[in-house]
Amino acid sequence: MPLGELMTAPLLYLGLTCGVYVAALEVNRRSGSHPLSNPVLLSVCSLIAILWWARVDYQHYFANVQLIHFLLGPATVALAVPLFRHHQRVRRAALPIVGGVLCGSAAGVLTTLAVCSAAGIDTALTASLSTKSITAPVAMGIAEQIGGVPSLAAVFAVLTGMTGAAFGPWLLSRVKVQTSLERGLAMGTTSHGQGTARILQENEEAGAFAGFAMGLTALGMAILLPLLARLVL
Amino acid sequence: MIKGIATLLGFQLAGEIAARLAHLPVSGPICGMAALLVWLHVKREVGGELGRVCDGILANMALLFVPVGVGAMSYSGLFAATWPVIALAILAGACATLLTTAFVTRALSDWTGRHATAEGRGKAAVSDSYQEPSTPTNLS
Repeated sequence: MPLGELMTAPLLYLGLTCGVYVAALEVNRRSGSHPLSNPVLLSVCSLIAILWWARVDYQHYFANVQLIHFLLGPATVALAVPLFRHHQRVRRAALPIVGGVLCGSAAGVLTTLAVCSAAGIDTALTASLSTKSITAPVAMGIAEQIGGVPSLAAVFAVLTGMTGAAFGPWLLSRVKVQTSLERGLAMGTTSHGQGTARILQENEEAGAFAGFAMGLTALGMAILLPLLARLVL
Repeated sequence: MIKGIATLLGFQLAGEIAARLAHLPVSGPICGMAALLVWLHVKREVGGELGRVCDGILANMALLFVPVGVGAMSYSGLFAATWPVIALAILAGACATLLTTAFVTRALSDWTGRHATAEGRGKAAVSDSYQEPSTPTNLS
């Protein structure tokens, strides 16, 4: 096989993506989990730099790393396991969980809308930004429904996931939020799967709450955002 | 391992079918998560193989967001023009959500906690009054 064919095969891009991610994990470990060394943030920046330097366009890259992207579905389903292991605590705290997650999502959406309207941003961009605390696959669907751009909504969702995963635990510690219930819910509501992945490293119970918060945010926002959009957008 | 993967894919597929047929506003994987949760409650245990596969996937879940994140490169023009607003919206929104979620959860936990202890005290008072009649018999 000529070497050039490697450029069009998934092997190269899958290997590159996983390799960059493993290197990013190593940097993160050595820096003592510094917020700016968030593995997704580092990987995304490095990969953009590499692709830009090699003049590979994004569609070509994405088509070749479909396998990684596909695993988001099964990973979401897998969140049922930590949730089941901690279901007794979730059930006992049902009211604080539902109240906290819905108020938190609403606060995020309203803040975003306020920033956008103050800056005079157009409706399509505002709509794509308003879904940013929802897990990427669901955010794309809702954004389309309320007049946003699905692929842009996915990028904002991942950027928000990165931001929350990087600075969330630090900010929560600063304001003395220490229980796994409060930390887990805050991370899952803000940064969906990435927040869940991040807080799972802290402890499994917080991860279970984060996974539940992510699902509840997706469900709640899927119903509430289209109604809100009809009023304000 | 393959049994665990098959279970996850099966529930995701069931979720996708349910979401489409019932026109649910929720994505297929989230429906699949709910279905698997119900199934685990029925079975009352996770099972070693499914548990291992899920723990393995979830430990590396962050990697799965990389392909979509790299998509930011397609919007370089938009980002160049509006990045301050986008950055502010993302940061302010994230802070608002983090803090509101944490403190509303805490306030509601305290509130329900107070109710629970008030109820507990009520019950304690009742059981105290039940013990009272027995005191004279103890004295005699």
